[in-house]
Amino acid sequence: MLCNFALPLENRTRGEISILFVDDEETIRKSFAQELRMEHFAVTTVAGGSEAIDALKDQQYDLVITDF
Amino acid sequence: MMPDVDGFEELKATKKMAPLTRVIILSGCGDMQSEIDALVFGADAFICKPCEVEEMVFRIQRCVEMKTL
Repeated sequence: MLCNFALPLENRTRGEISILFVDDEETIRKSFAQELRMEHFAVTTVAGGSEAIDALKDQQYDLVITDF
Repeated sequence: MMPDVDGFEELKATKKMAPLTRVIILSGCGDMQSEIDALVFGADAFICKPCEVEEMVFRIQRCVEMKTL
């Protein structure tokens, strides 16, 4: 993922904005991830809160979209 | 509701580990108290499901344009 964290978020292109999408429903996860990628965002998906926390330990994300 | 760590715990952990990471909450309920609680715990936006991708992109764009205080 080519995210330039040195630049302020508002100055980056969509492809430089990393999104972690969290939802336990696979169909929702896959469909939103596909749609957001078509909008040129860099999207990673995980199925649950603990996976999300592990992902945040491994990598910096600009935005987390999560089921509540 | 997430099956393992619930949404509030995940939100709190995210804001603790990565305070600059913006968080958008997706919720199936129209419960205003949940929305207030999410905002109190640091959520940047709240979207009720079902939502269209256009709304999600709009919320993402708004979050991206928010200046860090």
